Amino acid sequence: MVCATPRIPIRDKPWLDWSNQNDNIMTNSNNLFIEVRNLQTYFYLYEGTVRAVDGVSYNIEKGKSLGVIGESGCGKSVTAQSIMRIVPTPPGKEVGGEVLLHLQGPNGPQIVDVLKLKADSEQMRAIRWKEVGMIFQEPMTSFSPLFTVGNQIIEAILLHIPGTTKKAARQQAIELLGKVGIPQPTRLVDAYPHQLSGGMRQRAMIAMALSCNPKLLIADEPTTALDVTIEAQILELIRSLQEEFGMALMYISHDLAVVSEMSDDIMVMYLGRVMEHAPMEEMFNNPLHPYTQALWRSIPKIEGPLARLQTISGGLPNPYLIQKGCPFFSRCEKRIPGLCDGARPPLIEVSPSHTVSCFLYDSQARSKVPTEQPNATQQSATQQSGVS
Amino acid sequence: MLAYIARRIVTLIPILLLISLVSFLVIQLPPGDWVTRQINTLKLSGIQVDEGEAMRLTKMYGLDKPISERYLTWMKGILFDGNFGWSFQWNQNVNTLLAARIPLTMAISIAALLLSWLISIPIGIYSATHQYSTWDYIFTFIGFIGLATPGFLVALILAWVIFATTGFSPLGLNSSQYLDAPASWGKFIDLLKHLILPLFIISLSSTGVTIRVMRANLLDELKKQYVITARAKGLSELGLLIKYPVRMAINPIISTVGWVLPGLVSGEVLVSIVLGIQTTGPLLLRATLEQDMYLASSIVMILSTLTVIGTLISDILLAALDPRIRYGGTAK
Amino acid sequence: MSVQTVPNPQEVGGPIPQNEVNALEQPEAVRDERFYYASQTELVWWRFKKHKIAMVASVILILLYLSAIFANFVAPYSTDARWEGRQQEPPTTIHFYRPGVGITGPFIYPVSRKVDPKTFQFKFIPDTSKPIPIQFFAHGESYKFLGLIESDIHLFGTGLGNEPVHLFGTDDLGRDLFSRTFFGAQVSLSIGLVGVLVSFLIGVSLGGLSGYLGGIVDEVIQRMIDFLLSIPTLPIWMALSAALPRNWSVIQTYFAITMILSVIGWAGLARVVRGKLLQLREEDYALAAQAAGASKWRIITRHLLPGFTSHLIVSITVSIPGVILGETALSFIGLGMQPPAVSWGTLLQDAQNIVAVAEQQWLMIPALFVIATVLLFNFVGDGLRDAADPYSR
Repeated sequence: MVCATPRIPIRDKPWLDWSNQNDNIMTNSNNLFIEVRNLQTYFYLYEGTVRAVDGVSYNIEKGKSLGVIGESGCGKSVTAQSIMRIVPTPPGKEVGGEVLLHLQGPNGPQIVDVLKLKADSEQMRAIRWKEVGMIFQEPMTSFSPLFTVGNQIIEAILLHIPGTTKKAARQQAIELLGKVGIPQPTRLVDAYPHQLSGGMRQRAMIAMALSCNPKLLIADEPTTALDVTIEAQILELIRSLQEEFGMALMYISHDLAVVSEMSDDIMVMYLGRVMEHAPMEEMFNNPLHPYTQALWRSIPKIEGPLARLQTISGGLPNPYLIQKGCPFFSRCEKRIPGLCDGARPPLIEVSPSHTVSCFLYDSQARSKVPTEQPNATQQSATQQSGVS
Repeated sequence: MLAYIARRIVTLIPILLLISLVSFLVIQLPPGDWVTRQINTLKLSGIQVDEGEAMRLTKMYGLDKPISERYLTWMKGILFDGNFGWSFQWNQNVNTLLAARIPLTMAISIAALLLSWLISIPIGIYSATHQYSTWDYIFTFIGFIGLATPGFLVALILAWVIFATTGFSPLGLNSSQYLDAPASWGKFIDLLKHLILPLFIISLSSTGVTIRVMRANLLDELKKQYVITARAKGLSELGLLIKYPVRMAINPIISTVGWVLPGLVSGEVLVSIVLGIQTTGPLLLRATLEQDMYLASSIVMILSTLTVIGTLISDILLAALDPRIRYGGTAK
Repeated sequence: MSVQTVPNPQEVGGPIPQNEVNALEQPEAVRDERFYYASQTELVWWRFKKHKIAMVASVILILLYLSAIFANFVAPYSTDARWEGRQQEPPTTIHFYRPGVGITGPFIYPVSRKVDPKTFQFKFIPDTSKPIPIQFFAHGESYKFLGLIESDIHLFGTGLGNEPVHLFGTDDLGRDLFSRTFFGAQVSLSIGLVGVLVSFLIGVSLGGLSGYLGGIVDEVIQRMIDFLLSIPTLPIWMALSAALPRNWSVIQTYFAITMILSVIGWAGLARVVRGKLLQLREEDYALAAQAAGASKWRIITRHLLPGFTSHLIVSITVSIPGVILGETALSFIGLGMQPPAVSWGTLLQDAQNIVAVAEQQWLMIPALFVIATVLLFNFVGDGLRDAADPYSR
């Protein structure tokens, strides 16, 4: 998808220059907007360290959409917050990896590693909202109750698009509010957040996120707190606006159906790690990771014979524990004791666009597993003998 | 907004009536009255008092009438003539006695409140934004000491320390050489010098409270989604801090006036007694001891009424600052 | 068992045996795991223990209360023992070093009083020739230990009636301030506990009544609480205590003052109690218990109280200093406890005159005790508050 709408010239602030860090970054596609490489974001809490994001890599091309799916607490929101460097620090901290944004610099294209910028630096603040916009889960609290919705949208416009007059910014805010389907935008621009319903507030939030034409829109479970009927409207709105504005979209949800509606690619996360990453169709037709398979089995099916829904047995392991092996090991139906709990499964490229992090697809590693497991139970031991 | 103010004023009326009733009854509680107390004192010093004279005095002051009638008469005087009654002890109208002292008590209390905000709000902001830093610990500790230290004892200790080290007696409102002097620049400076200590002491506990409340509120607000939204929008830390969470965190401070102000007035009364400042404190102490009932009742009533009105003003201020209360008045 | 030659990833594994799941847990996780299974009380206690200042403060407070309970034993003299010729004596210096002898056990020098001919002030001149050792568990005036056992053992003393040790000096009448401070602690410290207990009983019963009956009763009680909280308490306290007959006994006055402080003071506690209960009642878990068919009693005892007790304890702890200060303030201005009753407030009456205090600084010592006690209670309350809040760090 090529961006269709004309953009306002981006780098008109001369002090914004990232050229100092471009030297050794290789780029592999002109169409990429964001490359995340081995991102690690940890939270240092009193009870222990939580590796909320532990070595996550993905790319999003301009105008494309990536769906991130996982149970609550799997690190999908933190992944997104790390891009904008708004992870609360302390206790959170991006401890490793790279988040490369392909930006349009003053002297042509530039690649910026936002993890190398200081979170409160002017460069970082210029990237926020201008390059990457975000919609949050809680429409109730994402606006300050003390200021009108319009005030908070205009603030963003004035901040990022220099030379805009207050009047023009207000006009722009009204247009945006109209675009996201808020009735009587000229009147409601002066409404306080508590005067709007949840759905209206989320629409206003979307209007605010779009106010500076970001090239990437992150939607962090934007419909979780809304009614189902409103959810459908909001999803439709986000999708149409993505097309209209030519944005890349990162859609985060725990709802499989929603993610499949919204995304070109799907990334499945579990305990801070990527389990599987594939195009949407491929992911649904040929899920490879046992976790993905289990997730898929838990979706109610409309067609076919009625059957009891399958759940994933067990619960999330203690997040403070450092998993030596695969994080899903304790709940996995197909685990290979002695292999899966001993080392982190590598990311295996099954096909050019389909990667999975599971030893089942690593024939080399599996061949090294001893035939008999001394500690394993009778049943698994016999099955393993069949495997190798 | 107007409807809100009107509603609040209407709810105020029964409270004010209750205040007047309680103030009156509480003073009437001790057995006997001013006349019997005077007569007892005379008797104790060996002077014979004519029973008829005592009866005449009792009748003259209206002390022979039942309590309910005396209350109604007193209230009628206040409501219709603005007359708070007669002080037996001073042989003066209560109004003239209180004319200078009540404003002074209220002025000191309110000045102490403002002083405490001036000190504590910036400290609270710093502490919350630098949570668990060294200075946070130091400020929290200082605020804590301020909150916990009894003002009148601090007054006692500081008055002694100042007197012992500088020879300046911070007691009273004016040094002796200015007591009967006409108003002058020197007298004014002297007055200010005497006011600094009580102001500081009375504001101590309120400062401690406000540092705590401000820090806790701001810490709560800093975790809210709208702060993250503002940060994600690219606002600078300082800019977003002042526009969003600080504005939100200050509102509850205004609503604490309701319970900080009564404490300040109590503190003022006590500190005035300790430091001998000629406000309502020493007057009330003598009046209660001497059963000078109209004076004592009037002081209790006026102080309570003004406190309640102060709370009302703070509530209205809060409504003006918070659109959620301003419109509809449903939020918390 | 069938042997497959082609590995089919879909069929590897099997049901997860429980022992294997446990084996996954690494030893260093033991500390972390405790947080998952600890009861609320254990969690509160662990957090409180982490609060060093609060721990130290509670130990000191316990010591203070113990010394007040055993004031007979801790204090070398009784409250009304006077030493003629030893009025306004500054605190006795305890020596550990004697020239020519070296470091010894604690001892004092006997003093004799002279009047400075220029300033007309008392001067106490030590006689360094006759050191008097301080004895621990010394014999002195006899008293009834806890009101039961006859004893004449005191924590320390000189064992000599005419050569006393006055650690905090003496007052205008030549009474030992150290002994009087600890006897005063009996009134001042206990009134805090008793007063809060009474406030608490009034507050909880009225708060409970208000919540249970609802309607007009709730409304009336709420208005009463609002009223009591919105007026300055001190003038009312002053007026009420002025009403106490001067000829009442110490015990009568003590309970009357307690009642006066509590009658006004219950409102704050009641509001906290009611507000917290209402808030908890609306919590989803309370509703869930209700939906599950739990009885009202079970909801209150099993679900609400555990979440509530800690807040209650915190509220009680932070209310105690207010009552102690109330008594001190009233006694200090002459409206509370009356001499010869001894409390920190009555002791401080002597310190009202700053000219006198400038000469006899030791008269301020009871004030330090009051301030210390109030601070200590606040430290403990603060630690408890942090510990009780499950969402605090």
